[in-house]
Amino acid sequence: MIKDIVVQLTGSDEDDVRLLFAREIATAHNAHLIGVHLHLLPDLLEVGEPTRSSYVQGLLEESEAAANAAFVKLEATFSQLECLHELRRLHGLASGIGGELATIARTADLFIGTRPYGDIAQHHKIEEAVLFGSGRGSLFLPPGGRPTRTFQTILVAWDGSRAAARAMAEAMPFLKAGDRVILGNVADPLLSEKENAAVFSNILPHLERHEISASPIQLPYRSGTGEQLEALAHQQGADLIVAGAYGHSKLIEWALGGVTRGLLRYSTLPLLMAH
Amino acid sequence: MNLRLDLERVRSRLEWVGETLALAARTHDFSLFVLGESTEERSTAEALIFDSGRPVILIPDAGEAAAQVNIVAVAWDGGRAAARALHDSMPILQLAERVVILTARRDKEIDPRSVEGVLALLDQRGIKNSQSDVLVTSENSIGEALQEAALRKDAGLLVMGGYGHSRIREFVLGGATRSVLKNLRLPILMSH
Repeated sequence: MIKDIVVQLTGSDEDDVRLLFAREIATAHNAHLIGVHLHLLPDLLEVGEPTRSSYVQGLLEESEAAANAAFVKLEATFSQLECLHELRRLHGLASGIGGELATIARTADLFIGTRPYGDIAQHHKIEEAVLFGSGRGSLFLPPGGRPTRTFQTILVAWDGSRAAARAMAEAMPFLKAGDRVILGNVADPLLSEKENAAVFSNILPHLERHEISASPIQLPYRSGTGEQLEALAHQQGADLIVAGAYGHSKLIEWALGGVTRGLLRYSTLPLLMAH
Repeated sequence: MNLRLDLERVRSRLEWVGETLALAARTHDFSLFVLGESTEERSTAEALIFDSGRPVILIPDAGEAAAQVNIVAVAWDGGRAAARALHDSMPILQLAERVVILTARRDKEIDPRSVEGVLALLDQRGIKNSQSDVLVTSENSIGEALQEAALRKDAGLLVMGGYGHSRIREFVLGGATRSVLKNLRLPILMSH
């Protein structure tokens, strides 16, 4: 059940893409849309003790003016929305604002943002903070993506792991609403054929109990599991990939698992992830 | 009761029982585990909580309290695991007549907006009869204080996040999590 959606807004062109998907999903699930506009303070303030020089002051005023203009524009856009909605704003440095956004996402059902690493200058730490810190599902959109039909064919990357189970649980409302669900798995080269085939044996009955019939597809192992799964999604005409997010915290940064990083960095399809 | 019951037998080496059960729990909406006082049972419960990705309901083996979910207590500290537990327990909270949000006051107070956010969320899900309560306690006894408060409110279930982090080799449990696993006094739903 998706009752509320937090969508990340930055004032860039990607806002349109995020809002397009968010609106579509909010309408389909009759959900409340919470737009959160992030105003990132100039990076300079992050360096030690910021001086109160006129240069720093000027930078701040400039960035505030741009954020205010973007917010006014968003208010106008939001007032046109048919779904239930509200608009909030956050101010902060790129290093800390992700945690605040994660806190907001914790009391909602879904977070929508743009795929981190989509562009080099982008602050991927913000999206990662939400993905790993919210405890909720995160939907990451490819930059410049356009919704076709919303999530009719869904590829779930299934390897039986904890993270895959988490992502599957968060994806349940989409799986129920979709037409076709494909379980994709890349065979583990360390396991026997029989052991590999067993990866689907418990998940299929679970999905059936939720009245979802899924078709399992297992691919032979090649290096590049993320790429293989994405290729499979395209080949099957999927418009959403569901995958567990692997990572462990290294105090400040998240060390991402290989498949997670690959999908986050290159996926050309919307990606629903959970940790 | 018109319930379908399936019985499945799983074989496992003794030291892998937790992992084997966690694997099974991954493909089910909830798992229930009766927790006694042995170290083995506790480590199995830990594996279920931290390795299944799904909510686990721990039931004390010596509990005298009647099983009911009319009154449910939810421990809230605004953290990730608490958010997981809150959302995972939603189907159960919707059956409850009353939901009590418990927050523990420590050195740092929880942002009241965060508790308001939870109450608003419950309201939006049609769970009208909820209230919040602040416990005054020290860091060491949060687990005990949460269980005590839940029992005082006549709750049949306490919902809380399971906290832990891996330190290279061993998994370190959060204080409240360790405390309730050691001395479980009522059914607790935990998510990580």
